[in-house]
This record gives sequence, C-alpha cells and structure tokens, in this order.
Amino acid sequence: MKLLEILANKESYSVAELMLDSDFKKWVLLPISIMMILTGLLKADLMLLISPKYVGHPRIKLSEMQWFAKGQLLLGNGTNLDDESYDVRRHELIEILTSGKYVAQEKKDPGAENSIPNPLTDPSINESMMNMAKGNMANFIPQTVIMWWVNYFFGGFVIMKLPFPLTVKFKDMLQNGIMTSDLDARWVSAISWYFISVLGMTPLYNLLSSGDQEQMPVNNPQMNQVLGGTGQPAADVLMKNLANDLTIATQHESCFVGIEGRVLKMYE
Amino acid sequence: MDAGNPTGNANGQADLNSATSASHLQNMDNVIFNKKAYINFMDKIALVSGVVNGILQFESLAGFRNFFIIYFTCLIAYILFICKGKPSRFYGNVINDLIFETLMRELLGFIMAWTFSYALIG
Amino acid sequence: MSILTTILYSISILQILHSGFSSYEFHQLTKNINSTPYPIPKDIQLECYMGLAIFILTSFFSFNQLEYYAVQPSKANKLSLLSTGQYLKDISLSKANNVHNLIGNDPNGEVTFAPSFVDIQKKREAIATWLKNTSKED
Repeated sequence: MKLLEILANKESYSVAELMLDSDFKKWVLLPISIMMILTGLLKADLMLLISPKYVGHPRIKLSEMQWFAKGQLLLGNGTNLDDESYDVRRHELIEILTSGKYVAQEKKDPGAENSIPNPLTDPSINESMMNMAKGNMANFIPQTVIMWWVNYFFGGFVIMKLPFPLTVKFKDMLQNGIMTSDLDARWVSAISWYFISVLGMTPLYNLLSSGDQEQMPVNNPQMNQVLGGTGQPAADVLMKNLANDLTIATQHESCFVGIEGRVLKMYE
Repeated sequence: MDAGNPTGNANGQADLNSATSASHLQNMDNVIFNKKAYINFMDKIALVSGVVNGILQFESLAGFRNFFIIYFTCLIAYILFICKGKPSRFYGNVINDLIFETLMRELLGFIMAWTFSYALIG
Repeated sequence: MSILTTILYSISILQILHSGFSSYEFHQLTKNINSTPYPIPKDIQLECYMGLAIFILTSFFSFNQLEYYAVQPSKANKLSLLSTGQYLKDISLSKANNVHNLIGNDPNGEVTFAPSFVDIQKKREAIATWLKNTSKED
C-alpha cells in the first residue's frame, strides 16, 4: 500500500528533481538581490539629484504673461461681473493689449533679425533635451551594467526552481547558456532571477524609500509656457489677437441679471 | 498631521486647469495622499504574503489562488473599515484606482517575493 | 506608527522568519532522506499563517485617524488636536475645505490675504489701537 502511494506520488511529481548546492543561494541569489535593491535605491537618489531645476523668467516676461492671462480670464469668466465693470475692464485691456505696453523687449543681436532660430542652439530646448537624455541614461546604464555583471559572473548554471510552471518557449531566455535540451523550464539560471526582480522590485523600493519621498515641485510645462516661444507667433501678435477677441466680445450676459428673482424662487 | 497655517495659505487648493467641470473639483493633494496610503498598504501585504507562500512551498495555481484571495479580501476589508464603506468619497474612480492601477504591480511584487523565498527554502 | 503597531509588526515578522527558518531546516533534512516530498509540519504552517494574519491585521491598525492642530488653541482643548474621525482625506474640494473650517483656517486665505487685497491702512490702525490698549493695561 505504502509503495503504491509513493509511486502515485512520484508520478504526480513529474518534474525531475535536481540536487542543487545550497551555496548557490548564499553566493548567487542573495548577492544579486542585495545588488538590485542597492542600485534601485541609488538610482532613485540619483534621479533626484539630476532632476530638472525650476526655470525662472525675468520679471518683464512674467508681467507680459500675466497681462495675456488676464485677458483670457476676462473672456472666460466675464459672466461673473455686472455689465458696467465688465465693459470697463474690457476697454482697459483692449487699450493695453493693442498698445503693446507690456510686451517684453528683448535685446536682439544686430543682423540676427531675419534669421530663423536654429532649434539646436536654443538653450531652453537644449536643456530639456539634456534632461531627458540624463533621465534615460540613469535608467538604462545601471540595468545594462547589472545584466552584464550577472551574465558574466553567474552565467552557465541553474540556480533555482520557479514555483510555477512555464512553457518550453521560455527555455531559451531563462536557461540561457545551459546545455540541456530536456530540462524542465522551471529550473532557471541567474539571469531569470534578475528579470523577475526587475519586474517585481517596485513595491519594495516604494516601502524602503517611503517617508522621505516627498512630492517634488514639478516643473509644470503648462505654467512655464512663455509667450512667443519657439514655434509660436510673437508675443505682440498674440496680444493683438486677444485684443481683437475682446473687441468682438460685446455680448455680455451677467449672472447678476434677475438674481433677486432666482434667489426668491429658491426659497419659495 | 497638518499644522494649521494662520496665513491661510491653502496650498494645492485645486487643479482648476485640469478640472473643467465645476461639479467635480478635486483637491489634488488629498487624491495623492489617499492613493499613496492604499499603495503602501497593498505593497506591504503583497510582499509578505509572497514570502509566506514561498515558506509554505506553494506551487503554481495554489500560489496564485492564495494571492488573489488575500488581495481581494484585503481590498474588501479596506473599503469597509478604512473607507468606511464609502470609497467614492476618497477615490475619484474607485475600480480603476483600487484595482486596475495596483493589481499588476502587486502581482509582480508577490511573484518576486514568492520565487525568492521558494528558492531560498526549497 | 504607534508603539503597539511596531510591536505587532515585529512579532509577526519574527514569526514569519522563524517559520521560514524551520521550513528551511525541515527541507534540508527531508531532502537527504527521501526524494518524495513530505508535507510541511502543522506547527510550521500554523506559525506562518499566524504571522501573516497578525501582519495583515496590523496593517489595518496602522491607519491612524487623521488629526489636525487648530490654528487658535482653545482652553477646553489644550493640545488643540482636532479630528474628523477619518483615515483618508476627502477628495471633493467642498468636503476637503471642511478640514480648514474645522481648524479655523481660511480656505480662501490665499486670495484674501494677498497683498493687493489687504487694506493696509485699516490693519495699521488696528495694530495701533491694540498697542495703545495693551500699553494702558501695563
């Protein structure tokens, strides 16, 4: 009876058992895991260091932006004013915007007026491209280095058994460099532990670095948009257009019209 | 714990630019706070349950079944006790915020912890 | 994190680690005896499940009800800690401002206290009278 049980057990356990040296755990699995955690934390710190700094603008540029925003806000939220104050504001803004009083004057190099600015030499674009490149570098350099390290030092042998079965298609990737044709795909080499931890480390990093991971002041691209930047019409043209819009916007419906009746109706 | 700010500088009042419909103005700081609380909570549970699964040497389907049981039990308990049964007060899009945004991330974290302890012990 | 949750967390993690070590020893032993897998002993299983259960319960306990300091401390409430009895923060703007009202913070303060909206002469007058009154009391 007992023999039968053992036999049945063995049949259900079709995966061939390999006897692995337990030193593999100590000298392969643990070092790779520790390395992954440390580089992940280091990368997070590095990203913080090379994250783009807040870019400021000169005051004249800011006031130009704010006058433009004021015009847009009046167009958008004018219904909250009564007719008289709306008209006063509208006329004042039309005057200011058409006169171009607050258009920021930039020093222009003589002779450079007619040339189209080269996007590669524009410092602001250059900087954003540089930041993007730095971010990418910080992402993929550690990955390639660790992958090389794992492949170089820990390649060519099976270190562990996965708890879940995989199809034969994974053999090429996960048993890279092991010369067995019929070994079950659950027995994998060091590089597959690397892949699993790359995918699954996010929760661990989150827990290890939570608390000091404060919300960084994000360099909001929308807030930072400068009038008349590259690829946009010049600031004075934009202001004139806005002034035109304001001149047309004579049809004004105030929310105060008949407000007494509406309030009384609410409490009827 | 927030210290009261006497100047009334209510920072992060609302993302007025992105929230166009006035009925659905959200306080962005609180949205981020709630999401972070949930993600931290689930991260902890996913990792520890992965380690436990590995210690008990669960294999293939049994392990994934355990994960889903633990995940959804915790989710329901979270909604009942932490959100006090009203998750829509704290999460704008409940199903997306509580399930779809985190399920894949926690599953991968669980698999990593499971594989690690399984290999270490077995 | 309060002391209680710290203690509970450490108990559960110790339990899980201990059961992990026991499981490891057990597997090393059985590996050399027989190739057929033995079921893990009940006590190791129980300890492991207990550790997980305590851990999950503690993660629920570790949510504290949010507390806020009042702007103007009152005599009745010396620590001036106020709470809405919630673990999370309301996201709708109208509800979120209730916290500002609770602690006596002006939710529109960003606008009303902006320099161009403050009547500076009135403020100076108020301060001058206050100074006069306090000096009289002395």
